[in-house]
Amino acid sequence: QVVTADVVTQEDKPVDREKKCPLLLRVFLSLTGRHNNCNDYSRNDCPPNELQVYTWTDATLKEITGLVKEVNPESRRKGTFFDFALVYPDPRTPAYRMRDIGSTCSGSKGPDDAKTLAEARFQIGDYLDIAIQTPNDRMGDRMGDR
Amino acid sequence: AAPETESPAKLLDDLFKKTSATPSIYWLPLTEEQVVVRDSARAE
Amino acid sequence: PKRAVRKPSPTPKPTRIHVGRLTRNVTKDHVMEIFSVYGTVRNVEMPFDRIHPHLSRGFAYVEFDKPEDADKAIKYMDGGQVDGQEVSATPVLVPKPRQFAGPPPQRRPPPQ
Repeated sequence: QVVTADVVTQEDKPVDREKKCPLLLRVFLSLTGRHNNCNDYSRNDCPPNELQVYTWTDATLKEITGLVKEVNPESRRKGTFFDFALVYPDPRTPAYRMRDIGSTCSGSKGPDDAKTLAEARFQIGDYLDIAIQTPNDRMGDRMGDR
Repeated sequence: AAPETESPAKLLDDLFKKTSATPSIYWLPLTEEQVVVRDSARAE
Repeated sequence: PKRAVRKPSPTPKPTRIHVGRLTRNVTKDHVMEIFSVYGTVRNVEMPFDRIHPHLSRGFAYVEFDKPEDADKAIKYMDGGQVDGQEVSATPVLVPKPRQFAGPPPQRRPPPQ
């Protein structure tokens, strides 16, 4: 897909990854198919299964999916579903909040694949919570939903 | 572009400074050249 | 070459700098480590967010032993990058010592 020149803004320009210092993205994998609870993110506590990713704001959901698959072999199976949410501190209360930003599927193309962290309104310091559903998980769960 | 044979982590450590304090974060001071550019921009 | 604009240099020269635009990932230990590269750091103050006390408010004060080291830190880190974000580093100017005898400001409560 071609993006026309007059639509490309400064933010849309690809980051020079050799000059721009990478940011730390703390990723928390939930292998149950559901996101971790917001309560699991508080003060100094965080959920288990943390993956520390060094990346840039133009990283896409597909790119991040690829990094997860590198460390989590089970998720390489075709049909594995990755659900992405940002976790950030609530400005007014001590709680943390969660906001869905998109999803990807191993072995398939999808509309969110090219979505970048910047497009998802990511701020450095936000956590990324990824709920991973393997095809086996989905067989029982999703069938019941539909 | 850097050679593909180098692993990404090794390449990052070559390009940027990394803290020992955990979780490690990367940082990068200005070069002498960039200091000059910054200061001349401010002098205008 | 003579510069058109010269920064005012108060006496004593500042040893304390303000570092701004720090991300939520940056801790006091990170600040201490990064700025120790420029000289002996006497103290790092990092005010916390009152709603999220484990998070900073995005800035820190770094006090060096020597003003030259504070200058060096500003030179290289004002506009430098930390954790993927451009940061600021500026001197914290201390007020000049009072040169006349007068009553001290009433900001502090009297000793009990």
